[in-house]
Amino acid sequence: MRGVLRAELLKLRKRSAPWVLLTVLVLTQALFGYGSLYAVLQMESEELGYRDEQLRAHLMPSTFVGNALGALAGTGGALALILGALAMGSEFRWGTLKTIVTQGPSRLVLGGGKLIALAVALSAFTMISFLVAFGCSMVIAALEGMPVVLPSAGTVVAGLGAGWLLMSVWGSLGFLLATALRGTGLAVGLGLVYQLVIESLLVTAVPWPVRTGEAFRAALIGTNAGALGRHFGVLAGHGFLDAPAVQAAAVLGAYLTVFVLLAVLLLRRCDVL
Amino acid sequence: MDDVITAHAIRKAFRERTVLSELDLVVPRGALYGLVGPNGAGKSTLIKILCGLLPADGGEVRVLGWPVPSVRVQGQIGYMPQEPALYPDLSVVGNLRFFGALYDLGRRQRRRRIGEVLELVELEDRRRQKVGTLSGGMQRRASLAVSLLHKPRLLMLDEPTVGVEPRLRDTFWDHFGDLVKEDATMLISTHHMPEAERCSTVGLLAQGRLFREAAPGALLEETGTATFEEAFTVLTQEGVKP
Repeated sequence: MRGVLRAELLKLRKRSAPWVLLTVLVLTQALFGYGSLYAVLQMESEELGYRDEQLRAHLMPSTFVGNALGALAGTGGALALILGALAMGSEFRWGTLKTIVTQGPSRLVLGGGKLIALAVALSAFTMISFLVAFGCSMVIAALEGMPVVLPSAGTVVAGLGAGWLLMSVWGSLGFLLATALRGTGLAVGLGLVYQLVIESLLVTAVPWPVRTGEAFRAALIGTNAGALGRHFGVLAGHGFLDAPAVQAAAVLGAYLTVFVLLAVLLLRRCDVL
Repeated sequence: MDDVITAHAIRKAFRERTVLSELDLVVPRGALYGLVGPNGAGKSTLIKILCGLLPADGGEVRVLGWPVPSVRVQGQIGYMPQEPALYPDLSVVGNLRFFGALYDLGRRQRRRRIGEVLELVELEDRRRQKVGTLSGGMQRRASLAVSLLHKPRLLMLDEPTVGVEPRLRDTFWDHFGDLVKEDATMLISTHHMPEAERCSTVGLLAQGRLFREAAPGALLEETGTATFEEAFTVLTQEGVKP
Protein backbone atom coordinates (compact mmCIF):
# COMPACT_ATOMS: atom_id res chain seq x y z
CA MET A 1 0.00 0.00 0.00
CA ARG A 2 2.85 2.38 0.90
CA GLY A 3 4.40 2.01 -2.56
CA VAL A 4 1.07 2.57 -4.34
CA LEU A 5 0.29 5.62 -2.24
CA ARG A 6 3.74 7.12 -2.82
CA ALA A 7 3.49 6.45 -6.55
CA GLU A 8 -0.02 7.88 -6.83
CA LEU A 9 0.88 11.02 -4.90
CA LEU A 10 3.92 11.48 -7.11
CA LYS A 11 1.76 11.10 -10.21
CA LEU A 12 -0.86 13.57 -8.96
CA ARG A 13 1.92 16.05 -8.24
CA LYS A 14 3.60 15.64 -11.61
CA ARG A 15 0.56 15.56 -13.88
CA SER A 16 -0.71 18.86 -15.18
CA ALA A 17 -4.45 18.12 -14.79
CA PRO A 18 -4.63 18.49 -10.96
CA TRP A 19 -2.77 21.81 -11.17
CA VAL A 20 -5.10 23.08 -13.89
CA LEU A 21 -8.14 22.11 -11.80
CA LEU A 22 -6.66 23.78 -8.72
CA THR A 23 -5.95 26.95 -10.72
CA VAL A 24 -9.55 27.02 -11.96
CA LEU A 25 -10.81 26.63 -8.38
CA VAL A 26 -8.60 29.45 -7.09
CA LEU A 27 -9.44 31.82 -9.95
CA THR A 28 -13.21 31.23 -9.91
CA GLN A 29 -13.28 31.59 -6.15
CA ALA A 30 -11.26 34.82 -6.17
CA LEU A 31 -13.12 36.28 -9.15
CA PHE A 32 -16.72 35.23 -8.51
CA GLY A 33 -16.65 34.68 -4.75
CA TYR A 34 -14.92 37.99 -3.98
CA GLY A 35 -13.78 40.09 -6.96
CA SER A 36 -17.11 40.48 -8.74
CA LEU A 37 -19.06 40.93 -5.50
CA TYR A 38 -16.65 43.60 -4.36
CA ALA A 39 -17.07 45.35 -7.70
CA VAL A 40 -20.87 45.29 -7.20
CA LEU A 41 -20.38 46.73 -3.73
CA GLN A 42 -18.29 49.57 -5.18
CA MET A 43 -20.80 50.32 -7.95
CA GLU A 44 -23.71 50.42 -5.55
CA SER A 45 -21.88 52.68 -3.16
CA GLU A 46 -20.92 55.06 -5.98
CA GLU A 47 -24.14 55.01 -7.96
CA LEU A 48 -26.70 54.70 -5.22
CA GLY A 49 -24.81 56.37 -2.45
CA TYR A 50 -25.18 53.64 0.07
CA ARG A 51 -23.43 50.42 0.83
CA ASP A 52 -25.05 47.09 0.97
CA GLU A 53 -24.13 46.15 4.51
CA GLN A 54 -25.16 42.55 4.08
CA LEU A 55 -22.96 42.13 1.02
CA ARG A 56 -20.04 43.83 2.70
CA ALA A 57 -20.39 41.65 5.78
CA HIS A 58 -20.42 38.62 3.47
CA LEU A 59 -17.00 39.59 2.14
CA MET A 60 -15.34 40.12 5.53
CA PRO A 61 -12.89 37.68 7.21
CA SER A 62 -15.51 36.70 9.79
CA THR A 63 -17.44 34.83 7.06
CA PHE A 64 -14.56 33.39 5.01
CA VAL A 65 -15.38 29.81 6.11
CA GLY A 66 -18.88 30.02 4.67
CA ASN A 67 -17.56 31.65 1.52
CA ALA A 68 -14.98 28.92 0.98
CA LEU A 69 -17.62 26.23 1.57
CA GLY A 70 -19.91 27.92 -0.95
CA ALA A 71 -17.14 27.68 -3.58
CA LEU A 72 -16.37 24.07 -2.67
CA ALA A 73 -20.03 23.03 -2.81
CA GLY A 74 -20.40 24.51 -6.30
CA THR A 75 -17.34 24.76 -8.58
CA GLY A 76 -15.18 22.75 -6.19
CA GLY A 77 -17.53 19.76 -6.31
CA ALA A 78 -17.48 19.74 -10.12
CA LEU A 79 -13.67 19.96 -10.16
CA ALA A 80 -13.39 17.21 -7.53
CA LEU A 81 -15.60 14.99 -9.70
CA ILE A 82 -13.29 15.60 -12.68
CA LEU A 83 -10.20 14.87 -10.57
CA GLY A 84 -11.73 11.64 -9.24
CA ALA A 85 -12.63 10.51 -12.76
CA LEU A 86 -9.14 11.36 -14.04
CA ALA A 87 -7.46 9.48 -11.19
CA MET A 88 -9.01 6.21 -12.32
CA GLY A 89 -10.18 6.73 -15.90
CA SER A 90 -6.73 7.56 -17.26
CA GLU A 91 -5.51 4.08 -16.29
CA PHE A 92 -8.00 2.50 -18.67
CA ARG A 93 -7.43 5.03 -21.42
CA TRP A 94 -3.66 4.60 -21.48
CA GLY A 95 -3.60 0.88 -20.67
CA THR A 96 -1.48 1.54 -17.60
CA LEU A 97 -3.75 -0.44 -15.28
CA LYS A 98 -2.50 -3.72 -16.73
CA THR A 99 1.13 -2.68 -16.36
CA ILE A 100 0.52 -1.71 -12.76
CA VAL A 101 -1.37 -4.82 -11.67
CA THR A 102 1.11 -7.20 -13.28
CA GLN A 103 3.95 -5.65 -11.38
CA GLY A 104 2.98 -5.46 -7.76
CA PRO A 105 -0.21 -4.44 -6.08
CA SER A 106 -3.52 -6.28 -6.06
CA ARG A 107 -6.49 -4.37 -7.41
CA LEU A 108 -7.76 -3.91 -3.85
CA VAL A 109 -4.49 -2.32 -2.74
CA LEU A 110 -4.30 -0.28 -5.94
CA GLY A 111 -7.86 1.04 -5.49
CA GLY A 112 -7.22 1.79 -1.82
CA GLY A 113 -3.97 3.61 -2.60
CA LYS A 114 -5.58 5.64 -5.34
CA LEU A 115 -8.52 6.65 -3.15
CA ILE A 116 -6.26 7.69 -0.28
CA ALA A 117 -4.12 9.73 -2.70
CA LEU A 118 -7.29 11.35 -4.04
CA ALA A 119 -8.41 12.14 -0.49
CA VAL A 120 -5.03 13.77 0.21
CA ALA A 121 -5.26 15.83 -2.99
CA LEU A 122 -8.80 16.94 -2.14
CA SER A 123 -7.76 17.94 1.37
CA ALA A 124 -5.06 20.11 -0.25
CA PHE A 125 -7.71 21.64 -2.56
CA THR A 126 -9.91 22.33 0.48
CA MET A 127 -7.11 23.99 2.45
CA ILE A 128 -6.04 26.12 -0.50
CA SER A 129 -9.65 27.19 -1.06
CA PHE A 130 -9.81 28.28 2.59
CA LEU A 131 -6.52 30.18 2.21
CA VAL A 132 -7.82 31.96 -0.90
CA ALA A 133 -11.06 32.93 0.88
CA PHE A 134 -9.09 34.11 3.90
CA GLY A 135 -6.64 36.11 1.77
CA CYS A 136 -9.34 37.76 -0.34
CA SER A 137 -11.42 38.69 2.71
CA MET A 138 -8.37 40.19 4.41
CA VAL A 139 -7.60 42.30 1.34
CA ILE A 140 -11.21 43.55 1.15
CA ALA A 141 -11.26 44.30 4.87
CA ALA A 142 -8.08 46.35 4.42
CA LEU A 143 -9.50 48.19 1.39
CA GLU A 144 -12.69 48.95 3.28
CA GLY A 145 -10.82 49.93 6.42
CA MET A 146 -12.82 47.46 8.48
CA PRO A 147 -11.57 45.77 11.66
CA VAL A 148 -10.52 42.14 11.19
CA VAL A 149 -12.78 39.74 13.08
CA LEU A 150 -11.89 36.10 12.56
CA PRO A 151 -14.13 33.06 13.08
CA SER A 152 -13.20 30.76 15.97
CA ALA A 153 -10.58 28.05 15.44
CA GLY A 154 -13.30 25.45 16.04
CA THR A 155 -15.40 26.90 13.20
CA VAL A 156 -12.40 26.85 10.84
CA VAL A 157 -11.53 23.24 11.68
CA ALA A 158 -15.16 22.08 11.39
CA GLY A 159 -15.43 24.02 8.12
CA LEU A 160 -12.32 22.33 6.76
CA GLY A 161 -13.81 18.95 7.63
CA ALA A 162 -17.11 19.86 5.95
CA GLY A 163 -15.27 21.13 2.87
CA TRP A 164 -13.22 17.96 2.58
CA LEU A 165 -16.39 15.86 2.93
CA LEU A 166 -18.17 17.78 0.14
CA MET A 167 -15.18 17.43 -2.17
CA SER A 168 -14.65 13.77 -1.33
CA VAL A 169 -18.25 12.81 -2.08
CA TRP A 170 -18.03 14.31 -5.59
CA GLY A 171 -14.47 13.02 -6.09
CA SER A 172 -15.46 9.48 -5.16
CA LEU A 173 -18.48 9.67 -7.48
CA GLY A 174 -16.10 10.59 -10.34
CA PHE A 175 -13.80 7.72 -9.35
CA LEU A 176 -16.74 5.27 -9.25
CA LEU A 177 -18.08 6.38 -12.64
CA ALA A 178 -14.62 6.09 -14.23
CA THR A 179 -14.21 2.58 -12.80
CA ALA A 180 -17.66 1.50 -13.99
CA LEU A 181 -17.31 3.06 -17.45
CA ARG A 182 -13.59 2.18 -17.82
CA GLY A 183 -12.65 5.62 -19.05
CA THR A 184 -12.58 9.33 -18.30
CA GLY A 185 -14.70 11.17 -20.88
CA LEU A 186 -18.09 9.60 -20.32
CA ALA A 187 -17.54 9.49 -16.55
CA VAL A 188 -16.85 13.22 -16.40
CA GLY A 189 -19.75 14.02 -18.73
CA LEU A 190 -22.33 11.92 -16.90
CA GLY A 191 -21.07 13.01 -13.50
CA LEU A 192 -21.35 16.70 -14.36
CA VAL A 193 -24.78 16.24 -15.94
CA TYR A 194 -25.95 14.56 -12.75
CA GLN A 195 -24.39 17.18 -10.50
CA LEU A 196 -25.32 20.31 -12.41
CA VAL A 197 -28.54 19.36 -14.18
CA ILE A 198 -30.32 16.29 -12.83
CA GLU A 199 -30.06 17.16 -9.14
CA SER A 200 -31.31 20.69 -9.65
CA LEU A 201 -34.11 19.49 -11.94
CA LEU A 202 -35.17 17.00 -9.28
CA VAL A 203 -35.27 19.78 -6.72
CA THR A 204 -36.78 22.60 -8.71
CA ALA A 205 -38.61 21.26 -11.76
CA VAL A 206 -40.37 18.11 -10.62
CA PRO A 207 -43.74 18.88 -8.95
CA TRP A 208 -43.35 16.43 -6.06
CA PRO A 209 -46.08 16.14 -3.43
CA VAL A 210 -44.84 18.10 -0.41
CA ARG A 211 -43.86 15.13 1.73
CA THR A 212 -42.23 13.21 -1.11
CA GLY A 213 -40.36 16.33 -2.18
CA GLU A 214 -39.02 16.85 1.34
CA ALA A 215 -37.90 13.24 1.61
CA PHE A 216 -36.32 13.43 -1.82
CA ARG A 217 -34.43 16.62 -1.07
CA ALA A 218 -33.19 15.09 2.16
CA ALA A 219 -31.54 12.31 0.16
CA LEU A 220 -29.69 14.29 -2.53
CA ILE A 221 -26.00 15.18 -2.43
CA GLY A 222 -26.35 18.81 -3.50
CA THR A 223 -29.11 19.70 -1.04
CA ASN A 224 -27.21 18.09 1.84
CA ALA A 225 -24.05 19.90 0.77
CA GLY A 226 -26.07 23.14 0.85
CA ALA A 227 -27.57 22.29 4.24
CA LEU A 228 -24.13 21.61 5.66
CA GLY A 229 -22.74 24.83 4.16
CA ARG A 230 -25.58 26.94 5.60
CA HIS A 231 -24.39 26.13 9.11
CA PHE A 232 -21.21 28.00 8.21
CA GLY A 233 -22.97 30.95 6.60
CA VAL A 234 -23.48 29.85 2.96
CA LEU A 235 -26.54 31.64 1.58
CA ALA A 236 -29.61 29.46 0.96
CA GLY A 237 -30.58 28.80 -2.65
CA HIS A 238 -33.89 27.79 -4.24
CA GLY A 239 -35.24 24.45 -3.01
CA PHE A 240 -32.87 24.37 -0.06
CA LEU A 241 -32.95 21.67 2.57
CA ASP A 242 -33.39 22.70 6.16
CA ALA A 243 -31.55 19.90 7.94
CA PRO A 244 -29.25 19.79 10.98
CA ALA A 245 -25.53 19.80 10.14
CA VAL A 246 -25.03 16.37 11.68
CA GLN A 247 -27.79 14.88 9.54
CA ALA A 248 -26.42 16.45 6.36
CA ALA A 249 -22.89 15.28 7.19
CA ALA A 250 -24.19 11.76 7.91
CA VAL A 251 -25.99 11.59 4.55
CA LEU A 252 -22.87 12.81 2.73
CA GLY A 253 -20.73 10.34 4.72
CA ALA A 254 -23.06 7.53 3.68
CA TYR A 255 -22.73 8.56 0.01
CA LEU A 256 -18.94 8.63 0.35
CA THR A 257 -18.87 5.15 1.91
CA VAL A 258 -21.16 3.65 -0.74
CA PHE A 259 -19.23 5.24 -3.64
CA VAL A 260 -15.87 4.04 -2.29
CA LEU A 261 -17.09 0.49 -1.60
CA LEU A 262 -18.75 0.20 -5.00
CA ALA A 263 -15.64 1.50 -6.78
CA VAL A 264 -13.34 -0.96 -5.00
CA LEU A 265 -15.74 -3.86 -5.63
CA LEU A 266 -16.00 -2.98 -9.31
CA LEU A 267 -12.26 -2.63 -9.63
CA ARG A 268 -11.76 -6.08 -8.12
CA ARG A 269 -14.29 -7.67 -10.43
CA CYS A 270 -13.09 -5.99 -13.63
CA ASP A 271 -10.46 -8.52 -14.69
CA VAL A 272 -8.45 -11.35 -13.28
CA LEU A 273 -6.02 -9.75 -10.91
CA MET B 1 12.42 -24.89 -9.09
CA ASP B 2 13.74 -25.52 -12.59
CA ASP B 3 10.74 -24.53 -14.66
CA VAL B 4 9.71 -20.90 -14.35
CA ILE B 5 6.61 -21.25 -16.53
CA THR B 6 4.53 -24.40 -16.88
CA ALA B 7 1.31 -24.23 -18.83
CA HIS B 8 -0.78 -27.28 -19.60
CA ALA B 9 -3.70 -27.60 -22.01
CA ILE B 10 -4.51 -23.87 -22.06
CA ARG B 11 -7.64 -22.95 -23.93
CA LYS B 12 -8.84 -19.49 -24.76
CA ALA B 13 -11.58 -18.30 -27.08
CA PHE B 14 -13.10 -14.91 -27.71
CA ARG B 15 -16.74 -15.70 -28.47
CA GLU B 16 -16.63 -18.20 -31.35
CA ARG B 17 -13.00 -17.58 -32.25
CA THR B 18 -10.53 -20.00 -30.69
CA VAL B 19 -7.24 -18.26 -29.96
CA LEU B 20 -5.41 -20.90 -27.92
CA SER B 21 -6.18 -24.58 -28.22
CA GLU B 22 -4.83 -27.13 -25.69
CA LEU B 23 -1.50 -25.32 -25.59
CA ASP B 24 1.38 -26.71 -23.53
CA LEU B 25 4.42 -24.61 -22.68
CA VAL B 26 7.38 -25.12 -20.39
CA VAL B 27 10.02 -22.44 -19.95
CA PRO B 28 12.99 -23.50 -17.83
CA ARG B 29 14.84 -21.16 -15.53
CA GLY B 30 17.49 -19.10 -17.32
CA ALA B 31 15.95 -19.58 -20.76
CA LEU B 32 15.73 -16.89 -23.39
CA TYR B 33 12.56 -18.23 -24.93
CA GLY B 34 11.32 -16.79 -28.20
CA LEU B 35 7.65 -17.08 -29.06
CA VAL B 36 7.38 -16.85 -32.82
CA GLY B 37 4.27 -16.91 -34.95
CA PRO B 38 2.25 -15.08 -37.57
CA ASN B 39 -0.22 -12.30 -36.72
CA GLY B 40 -3.19 -13.63 -34.80
CA ALA B 41 -1.34 -16.78 -33.72
CA GLY B 42 -2.15 -16.07 -30.07
CA LYS B 43 1.23 -14.79 -28.82
CA SER B 44 -0.10 -11.72 -27.02
CA THR B 45 -3.06 -13.64 -25.58
CA LEU B 46 -0.70 -16.31 -24.22
CA ILE B 47 1.54 -13.69 -22.60
CA LYS B 48 -1.48 -11.94 -21.04
CA ILE B 49 -2.67 -15.24 -19.58
CA LEU B 50 0.80 -15.97 -18.19
CA CYS B 51 0.89 -12.48 -16.61
CA GLY B 52 -2.53 -13.01 -15.03
CA LEU B 53 -4.22 -10.31 -17.08
CA LEU B 54 -6.59 -12.65 -18.88
CA PRO B 55 -8.29 -15.74 -17.53
CA ALA B 56 -7.79 -18.94 -19.52
CA ASP B 57 -10.97 -20.84 -20.38
CA GLY B 58 -9.28 -24.07 -19.38
CA GLY B 59 -5.95 -25.63 -18.49
CA GLU B 60 -3.43 -24.95 -15.77
CA VAL B 61 -0.80 -22.23 -15.60
CA ARG B 62 1.96 -21.92 -13.03
CA VAL B 63 4.45 -19.08 -13.02
CA LEU B 64 7.41 -19.08 -10.62
CA GLY B 65 5.77 -22.04 -8.93
CA TRP B 66 2.44 -20.33 -8.23
CA PRO B 67 -0.85 -20.89 -10.01
CA VAL B 68 -1.75 -17.81 -12.06
CA PRO B 69 -3.30 -15.38 -11.34
CA SER B 70 -1.60 -14.73 -8.03
CA VAL B 71 -0.37 -11.57 -6.39
CA ARG B 72 2.59 -13.63 -5.15
CA VAL B 73 3.89 -13.69 -8.71
CA GLN B 74 3.44 -9.97 -9.27
CA GLY B 75 6.44 -7.84 -8.52
CA GLN B 76 8.70 -10.70 -9.61
CA ILE B 77 7.80 -10.33 -13.26
CA GLY B 78 8.39 -7.57 -15.74
CA TYR B 79 5.78 -7.19 -18.45
CA MET B 80 6.00 -5.05 -21.52
CA PRO B 81 2.73 -4.94 -23.48
CA GLN B 82 2.60 -4.52 -27.24
CA GLU B 83 1.30 -0.95 -26.94
CA PRO B 84 3.36 1.25 -24.61
CA ALA B 85 1.35 1.55 -21.40
CA LEU B 86 2.78 4.75 -19.96
CA TYR B 87 1.43 8.09 -18.80
CA PRO B 88 1.76 10.41 -21.82
CA ASP B 89 1.47 13.57 -19.72
CA LEU B 90 4.39 12.55 -17.51
CA SER B 91 8.03 12.84 -18.58
CA VAL B 92 10.12 9.72 -19.25
CA VAL B 93 11.78 10.06 -15.87
CA GLY B 94 8.40 10.83 -14.26
CA ASN B 95 7.04 7.53 -15.52
CA LEU B 96 10.13 5.69 -14.27
CA ARG B 97 9.84 7.37 -10.85
CA PHE B 98 6.16 6.39 -10.68
CA PHE B 99 6.84 2.73 -11.41
CA GLY B 100 9.93 2.78 -9.19
CA ALA B 101 7.75 3.97 -6.29
CA LEU B 102 5.21 1.28 -7.15
CA TYR B 103 7.94 -1.37 -6.94
CA ASP B 104 8.85 0.12 -3.57
CA LEU B 105 12.43 0.79 -4.64
CA GLY B 106 14.34 2.98 -2.19
CA ARG B 107 15.22 6.49 -3.31
CA ARG B 108 18.92 5.74 -3.92
CA GLN B 109 18.26 2.42 -5.64
CA ARG B 110 15.52 4.01 -7.76
CA ARG B 111 17.82 6.81 -8.89
CA ARG B 112 20.58 4.35 -9.78
CA ARG B 113 18.27 2.01 -11.69
CA ILE B 114 16.61 4.89 -13.56
CA GLY B 115 20.06 6.01 -14.72
CA GLU B 116 20.96 2.47 -15.80
CA VAL B 117 17.80 1.74 -17.78
CA LEU B 118 17.80 5.17 -19.41
CA GLU B 119 21.35 4.54 -20.55
CA LEU B 120 20.38 1.13 -21.92
CA VAL B 121 17.44 2.43 -23.96
CA GLU B 122 19.41 5.56 -24.91
CA LEU B 123 16.85 8.04 -23.65
CA GLU B 124 19.04 10.03 -21.23
CA ASP B 125 18.75 13.14 -23.37
CA ARG B 126 14.95 12.78 -23.48
CA ARG B 127 14.48 12.11 -19.78
CA ARG B 128 12.55 15.36 -19.20
CA GLN B 129 10.42 15.05 -22.33
CA LYS B 130 6.77 14.09 -21.96
CA VAL B 131 6.15 10.54 -23.17
CA GLY B 132 3.21 11.66 -25.30
CA THR B 133 5.54 13.79 -27.42
CA LEU B 134 8.03 10.97 -28.13
CA SER B 135 8.05 8.97 -31.37
CA GLY B 136 6.51 5.48 -31.33
CA GLY B 137 9.92 3.79 -31.21
CA MET B 138 11.05 5.98 -28.32
CA GLN B 139 7.83 5.23 -26.43
CA ARG B 140 8.58 1.51 -26.79
CA ARG B 141 12.08 2.11 -25.48
CA ALA B 142 10.62 3.93 -22.48
CA SER B 143 8.16 1.08 -21.94
CA LEU B 144 11.03 -1.42 -22.00
CA ALA B 145 12.91 0.70 -19.46
CA VAL B 146 9.89 0.50 -17.13
CA SER B 147 9.68 -3.29 -17.40
CA LEU B 148 13.41 -3.65 -16.59
CA LEU B 149 13.49 -1.12 -13.75
CA HIS B 150 13.03 -3.51 -10.82
CA LYS B 151 15.30 -6.30 -12.18
CA PRO B 152 12.53 -8.91 -12.31
CA ARG B 153 13.25 -12.65 -12.18
CA LEU B 154 11.00 -13.24 -15.17
CA LEU B 155 10.51 -10.87 -18.09
CA MET B 156 7.66 -11.24 -20.54
CA LEU B 157 8.06 -8.87 -23.44
CA ASP B 158 5.48 -8.64 -26.21
CA GLU B 159 7.32 -7.64 -29.37
CA PRO B 160 9.70 -5.30 -27.57
CA THR B 161 11.68 -4.13 -30.58
CA VAL B 162 8.92 -3.13 -33.01
CA GLY B 163 9.75 0.33 -34.36
CA VAL B 164 13.20 0.31 -32.79
CA GLU B 165 16.16 1.03 -35.06
CA PRO B 166 18.39 -2.00 -35.92
CA ARG B 167 21.49 -0.85 -34.02
CA LEU B 168 19.52 -0.33 -30.81
CA ARG B 169 17.70 -3.60 -31.38
CA ASP B 170 21.07 -5.36 -31.23
CA THR B 171 21.93 -3.52 -28.03
CA PHE B 172 18.63 -4.68 -26.50
CA TRP B 173 19.29 -8.29 -27.42
CA ASP B 174 22.81 -8.10 -26.02
CA HIS B 175 21.26 -6.84 -22.80
CA PHE B 176 18.64 -9.61 -22.79
CA GLY B 177 21.53 -12.09 -23.08
CA ASP B 178 23.27 -10.40 -20.13
CA LEU B 179 20.10 -10.58 -18.04
CA VAL B 180 19.80 -14.31 -18.70
CA LYS B 181 23.43 -14.75 -17.63
CA GLU B 182 22.43 -13.00 -14.37
CA ASP B 183 19.80 -15.73 -13.78
CA ALA B 184 16.74 -13.96 -15.22
CA THR B 185 14.34 -15.86 -17.46
CA MET B 186 12.86 -14.24 -20.55
CA LEU B 187 9.84 -14.95 -22.71
CA ILE B 188 9.80 -12.73 -25.77
CA SER B 189 7.35 -12.69 -28.64
CA THR B 190 8.72 -11.55 -31.95
CA HIS B 191 8.06 -11.37 -35.66
CA HIS B 192 11.63 -10.57 -36.44
CA MET B 193 13.42 -13.77 -37.46
CA PRO B 194 17.03 -12.68 -36.87
CA GLU B 195 15.93 -11.93 -33.29
CA ALA B 196 14.43 -15.40 -32.89
CA GLU B 197 17.80 -16.86 -33.80
CA ARG B 198 19.30 -15.25 -30.71
CA CYS B 199 16.98 -17.17 -28.37
CA SER B 200 18.07 -20.32 -26.54
CA THR B 201 14.74 -21.95 -27.42
CA VAL B 202 12.12 -21.01 -29.96
CA GLY B 203 8.47 -22.00 -29.79
CA LEU B 204 6.51 -21.78 -33.01
CA LEU B 205 2.90 -20.82 -32.55
CA ALA B 206 0.20 -21.05 -35.20
CA GLN B 207 -3.56 -21.42 -35.00
CA GLY B 208 -3.42 -21.37 -31.21
CA ARG B 209 -1.05 -24.34 -30.90
CA LEU B 210 2.63 -24.55 -30.07
CA PHE B 211 3.51 -26.93 -32.86
CA ARG B 212 7.31 -26.98 -32.66
CA GLU B 213 9.82 -26.13 -29.97
CA ALA B 214 13.60 -26.41 -30.27
CA ALA B 215 16.87 -24.51 -30.34
CA PRO B 216 17.11 -22.33 -33.47
CA GLY B 217 20.08 -24.37 -34.78
CA ALA B 218 18.13 -27.60 -34.44
CA LEU B 219 15.25 -26.15 -36.44
CA LEU B 220 17.64 -25.20 -39.26
CA GLU B 221 19.06 -28.70 -39.25
CA GLU B 222 15.64 -30.28 -39.23
CA THR B 223 14.34 -28.27 -42.18
CA GLY B 224 17.61 -28.24 -44.11
CA THR B 225 17.26 -24.52 -44.72
CA ALA B 226 19.97 -21.88 -44.66
CA THR B 227 18.15 -19.19 -42.73
CA PHE B 228 15.76 -19.19 -39.84
CA GLU B 229 13.26 -17.25 -41.92
CA GLU B 230 13.10 -20.10 -44.43
CA ALA B 231 12.90 -22.65 -41.63
CA PHE B 232 10.04 -20.74 -40.06
CA THR B 233 8.15 -20.62 -43.37
CA VAL B 234 8.55 -24.38 -43.90
CA LEU B 235 7.61 -25.26 -40.33
CA THR B 236 4.66 -22.84 -40.24
CA GLN B 237 3.23 -24.34 -43.40
CA GLU B 238 3.54 -27.76 -41.80
CA GLY B 239 2.16 -26.51 -38.54
CA VAL B 240 -0.98 -24.98 -39.95
CA LYS B 241 -1.95 -28.01 -42.01
CA PRO B 242 -5.31 -29.27 -40.84
